[in-house]
Amino acid sequence: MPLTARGEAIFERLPGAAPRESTGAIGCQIVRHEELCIGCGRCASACPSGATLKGDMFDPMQLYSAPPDSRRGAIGTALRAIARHQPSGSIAVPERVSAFRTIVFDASRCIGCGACARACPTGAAEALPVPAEEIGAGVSG
Amino acid sequence: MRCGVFLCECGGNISGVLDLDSLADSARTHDGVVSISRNQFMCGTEGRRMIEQAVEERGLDRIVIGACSRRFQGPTFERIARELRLGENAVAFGNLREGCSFIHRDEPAKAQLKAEKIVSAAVARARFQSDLPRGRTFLHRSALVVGGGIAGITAAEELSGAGIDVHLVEREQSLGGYMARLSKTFPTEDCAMCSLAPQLTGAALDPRIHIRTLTDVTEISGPPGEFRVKLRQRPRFVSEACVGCDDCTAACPVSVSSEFELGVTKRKAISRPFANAVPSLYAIDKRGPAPCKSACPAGTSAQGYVALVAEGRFDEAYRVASGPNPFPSVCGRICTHPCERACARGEVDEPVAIAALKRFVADHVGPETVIEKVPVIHSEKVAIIGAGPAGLTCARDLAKLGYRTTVFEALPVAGGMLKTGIPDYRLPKDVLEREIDQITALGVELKLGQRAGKDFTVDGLLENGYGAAFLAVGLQKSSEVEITGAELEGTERAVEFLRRLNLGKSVSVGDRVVVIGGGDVALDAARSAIRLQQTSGREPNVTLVYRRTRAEMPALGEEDEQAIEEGLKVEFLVAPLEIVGKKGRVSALKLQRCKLGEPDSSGRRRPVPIEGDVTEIEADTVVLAIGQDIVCDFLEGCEDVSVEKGQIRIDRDTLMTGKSGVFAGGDAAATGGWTAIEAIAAGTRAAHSIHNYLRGEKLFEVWPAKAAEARPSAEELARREVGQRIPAVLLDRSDRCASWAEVVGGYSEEEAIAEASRCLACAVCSECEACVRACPAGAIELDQQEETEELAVGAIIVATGHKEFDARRKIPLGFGRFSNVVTQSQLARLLAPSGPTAGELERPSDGAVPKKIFMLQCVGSRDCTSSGNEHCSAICCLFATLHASLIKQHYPDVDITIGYTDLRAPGKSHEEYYRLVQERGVRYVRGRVGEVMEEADKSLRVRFEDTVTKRKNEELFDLVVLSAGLEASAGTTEIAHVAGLQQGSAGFIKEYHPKLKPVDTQRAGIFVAGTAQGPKNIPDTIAQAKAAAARVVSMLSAGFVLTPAQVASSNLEQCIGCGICESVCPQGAVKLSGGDNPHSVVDANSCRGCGICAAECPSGAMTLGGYSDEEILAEVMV
Amino acid sequence: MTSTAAENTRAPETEDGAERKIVAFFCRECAYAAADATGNARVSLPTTIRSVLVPCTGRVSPLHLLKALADGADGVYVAGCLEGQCHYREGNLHALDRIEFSRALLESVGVEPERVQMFTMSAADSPKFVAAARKMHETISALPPLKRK
Repeated sequence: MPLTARGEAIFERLPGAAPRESTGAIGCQIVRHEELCIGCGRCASACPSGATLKGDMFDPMQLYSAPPDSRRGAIGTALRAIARHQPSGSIAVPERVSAFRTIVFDASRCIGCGACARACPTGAAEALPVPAEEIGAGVSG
Repeated sequence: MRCGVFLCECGGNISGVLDLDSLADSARTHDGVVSISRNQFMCGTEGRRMIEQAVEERGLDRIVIGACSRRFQGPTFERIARELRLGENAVAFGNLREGCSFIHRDEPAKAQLKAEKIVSAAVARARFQSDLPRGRTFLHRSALVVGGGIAGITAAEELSGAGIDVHLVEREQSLGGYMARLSKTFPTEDCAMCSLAPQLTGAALDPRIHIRTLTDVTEISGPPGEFRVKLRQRPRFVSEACVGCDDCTAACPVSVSSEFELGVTKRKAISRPFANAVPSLYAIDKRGPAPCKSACPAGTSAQGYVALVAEGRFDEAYRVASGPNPFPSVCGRICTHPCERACARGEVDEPVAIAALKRFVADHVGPETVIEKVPVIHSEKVAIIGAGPAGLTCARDLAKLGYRTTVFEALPVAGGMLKTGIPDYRLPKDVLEREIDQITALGVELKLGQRAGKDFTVDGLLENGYGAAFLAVGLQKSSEVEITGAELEGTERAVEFLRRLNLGKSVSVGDRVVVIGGGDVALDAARSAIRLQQTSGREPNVTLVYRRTRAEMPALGEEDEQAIEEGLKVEFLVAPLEIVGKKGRVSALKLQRCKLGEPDSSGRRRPVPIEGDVTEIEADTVVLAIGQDIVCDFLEGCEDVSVEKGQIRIDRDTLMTGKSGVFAGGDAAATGGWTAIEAIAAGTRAAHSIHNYLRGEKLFEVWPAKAAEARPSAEELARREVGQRIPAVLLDRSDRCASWAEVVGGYSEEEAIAEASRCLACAVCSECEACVRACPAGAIELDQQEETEELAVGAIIVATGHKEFDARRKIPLGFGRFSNVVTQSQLARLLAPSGPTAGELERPSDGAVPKKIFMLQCVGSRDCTSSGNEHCSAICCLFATLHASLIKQHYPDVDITIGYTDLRAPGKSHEEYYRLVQERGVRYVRGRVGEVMEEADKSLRVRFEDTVTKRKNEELFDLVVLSAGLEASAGTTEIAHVAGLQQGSAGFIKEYHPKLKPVDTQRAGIFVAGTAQGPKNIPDTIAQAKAAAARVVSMLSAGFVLTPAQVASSNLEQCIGCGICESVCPQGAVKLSGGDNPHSVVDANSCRGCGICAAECPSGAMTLGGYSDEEILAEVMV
Repeated sequence: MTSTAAENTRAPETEDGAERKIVAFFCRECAYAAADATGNARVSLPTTIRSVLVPCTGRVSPLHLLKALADGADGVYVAGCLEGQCHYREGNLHALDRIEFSRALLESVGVEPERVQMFTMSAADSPKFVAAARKMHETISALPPLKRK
């Protein structure tokens, strides 16, 4: 996937920067906590490199692991009450269902800018600092 | 919560099945229930009193109603709650009637249990119900009425009477709509225009009614009460100065089918639909440049002079043809005429012979035209280098602008390539000389034999009094070709060869001539060689060799045919390898045979050599005609001007070279192709640019912006009759080869008029400007532009009307194919005193009064096939009856048969009228027509079945009238899209409720009236228009409206600004705002309360008033 | 109408003899109007169905559907306007997708997806409304009661 306009802008500010797969990281490492995700998609809109996308599948386990007072948690509680067994894997999501989509994160495209973590309202996307010695040699800004 | 439960017996409907006492006992057990009441009719006054009393005495803050469906009495109880200041959302409903007692009458025990659950659920829900905030919208005391037919005019008048400002918008050029077309109206048989005209005048004079015609509504936004409306007004091209004298229509040469007369007659490109039109101004139907004009580099209004030729107005045609082009006679002969390639007639049969018509008109009028010197009004002098078409055109245009111009020409003659490149048999020299003389007659000075860089320098001119210079030096030598033997005696270069020939120098060719090349120059050289051979008494022996095939040849198609007739031999797919010499003279040409390969950058297929296939052709003269090149002498003493790749470097927009004040154009600095017409165009543009430069104005792009060209649709073209162009007369072969006489003859007057009449008038207005010259008031403004406008209005009435069903869709009935099959509306025009026949009934084929008429009802109505509509068009039975009656009264002997499906005459006095007309002798036959066939004498054979007698009939009629039904007009469909209104069958606007709210639409504040809502007659239309106006008055009289209670709202603390709500809202009512930290904001006026956003919100911030998750789940969980 | 209505009055016997509970979400513009028309025609319907009025089926979320099942319903259905006839343009399309999604969720945990269904009808189409109600009733009655933890 080509870079988005925002991605281009970020690269302009960071001379020598390149996606993670070629240089390692340019900033931070992203850790995702899917149990906190509410599927709003802000991370995907914020991501400049196409590393974070709203997927077409949904893992029902996310309903079980969500906080019980959240919307997903409430559905999880209801589903658990009638379930005959554990969810048997991800399900396809119809077009018009927006929030029940598992976020697809491709670490190899991540540029480590942390935009997703800043955009995430629930802490599901977390940006951990990467020690300076691990940062790719080409980065100077 | 202090909740009261009110149970309704519904006069036994509920209590007859359910035990309400037991239900009350069960309800009493619920938490928060402090009062229980029951009544026979809770919705009545007694019930209301009980509620009031309980609220007051028991301090209730919630009310639970156990009664009928919320859809029936919900508003009643909500109103009570509102009036008791509890807010309408303090009421919860349990549907005990439709939801229980009515549907479970035979299972009372189970019904009782269900009723208990229903009440329990309502109580549970009530706990979560809270008061909903409502905003106020203040109302603009103005209205928009869309559509200026009788419905729109009536509504506007009514609104104006109530003191409301009205913007009345009509897409046609006049108000009046369909009613203006009618002759008389049923059942009173009074004249339609007599009732309509005073209304039209009234609207025009009313200071509160602001009329905009030729205007479309492009956008409606904002809430009811303060709608924002965007309008787009198309140009009328006629100003308010128009006095309605009609001189312009007499002058206009373009006639097209009249929309107002429904195609019964024609109108001019400038027209007024009817005498009482409002506004009374004429308007020009100008649809953009015609394809021919658009294709002409010089922008000549070809359609304009063609139209004038068709009318025999040759002087005016010449004026149009010579306007942008000082060489009409020349171009009429040698132009590559891109106009003809663009001509839409070419899609029907053959393009109009535009160039030949130009030649006719220029030859016919040009010689007699006396040119007067134009006074010099500017002090600056302009030097033009090169007296070819570009230079001379530039000189002429500058002279017309009042400049003193001098044209410097290196050769002893003027005309450039027109003179030295094109042989006499294509362009007689006297034709060219005449047109050059006309240019010098304007005051242009010609200095011949002056070569730039040698006899003078450009910089020298600029230093010695010239303000600007235009370099139009052309391409004066043949391109150098690298071929062995090019230096041999007998090798000629085409440009130089032709120049010597055309300057009258002695030129000779051998007995076997080979010309290399495939362009116009190659053909000119070849055909000249043939003539040289023949005039010196030899047999023609000239061969043209070309690398590709005839399909790729750039020369004009008709010309190579003529050349072959003259004896030219052509070898395709051969590339020259070597000119073979003997004793320093040419003896043969060695050729490589080729085949066609892949297309190159020009799109033509590239010739590929066939290995080893080499041939030789004997020759004593070889003419190289492979391109032309620039001669750079002029650069001497011309600083800052540069030549790159054989072209002078210029700014393409302004034609200025690297040196300020020096411009260039024509073949030496081409902006398109290297043709005469492109050189002429460059000359004109350069004159503009030089004028801008000398007047100290900013140089800007001088090429006119390309406007979208007007072209008839494929459907319209398919309807045109196929014919053919009138061929030009060619000089006989034997005569022409032995002389230099012109090969192609011109048209005679009759031929020219006939050929010009083939024009399809693509753009309708041809931009010939005949009206500009004819208008005594100076009212024609051809440069008017489209305008947009934004209005704020409180309410909108849609009165966009209907259109007649297109009877062509019923193919067996012959409409559109047989001239004597007309529609009922067309008949109205034929019967109208103001119509094309002044009210005399004439059948279209021959103008005779028809003796036998068949009227067929339900054409496209009450028709379940895919080509028709299911609905009854409501007016056709009486429309036909009216016309039959009118005809019978004027022509008692005419025999009229009306073939109907069912005769429908409801409404006041309609049945009586039908009986009266029956008594007048009109025959009504219940039956369907199978087919209408045309006889040789244009009378019509109608096959129909009488479904009463079950007899099949076949009779001959003089005229068949189709009662085509009604469909939504294009304007109705357009406004439905713009305003977001629902359309029902056949496109009519859906009313909010067919009985209770017949003039409301689905969108609050927008009302509908007239045939936009459905087929109806004039009195019903007027009644509906007045009803719609009354709705607007009552709405706007309130001063403000409350925003609806049941709308979405977002909790700012929970909102995470993800924007899902914005993306799913079908009304566009939810928007993200707040920059970097966005949150959703609901426009309560646009929100219609569907709740899609609340269901999609991932954080739970979005909810719907009255339908929160808690409220819904409380009901579900019990 | 009356004779057929009487025939259909009684709920088909369930194997365990216990009556099921069905929650139905009706949109105000079409399905609820059809329900009212059905009531006014005194057509008998199974007592298993409990209707909930919503302005548009687009308001119904997977939470509502699953919560209804978790809180005692054996089946749940949504009835809205015909495709292309939604009074809010596309609410019914949203509902259809959410029902498909909810059914997939049920399937993934081993619950019969037919416990959640969607029907569409015009406001005037009482027969279609009745057919939907009876079909739902029959489907759910043929299934065992929904077990809850």
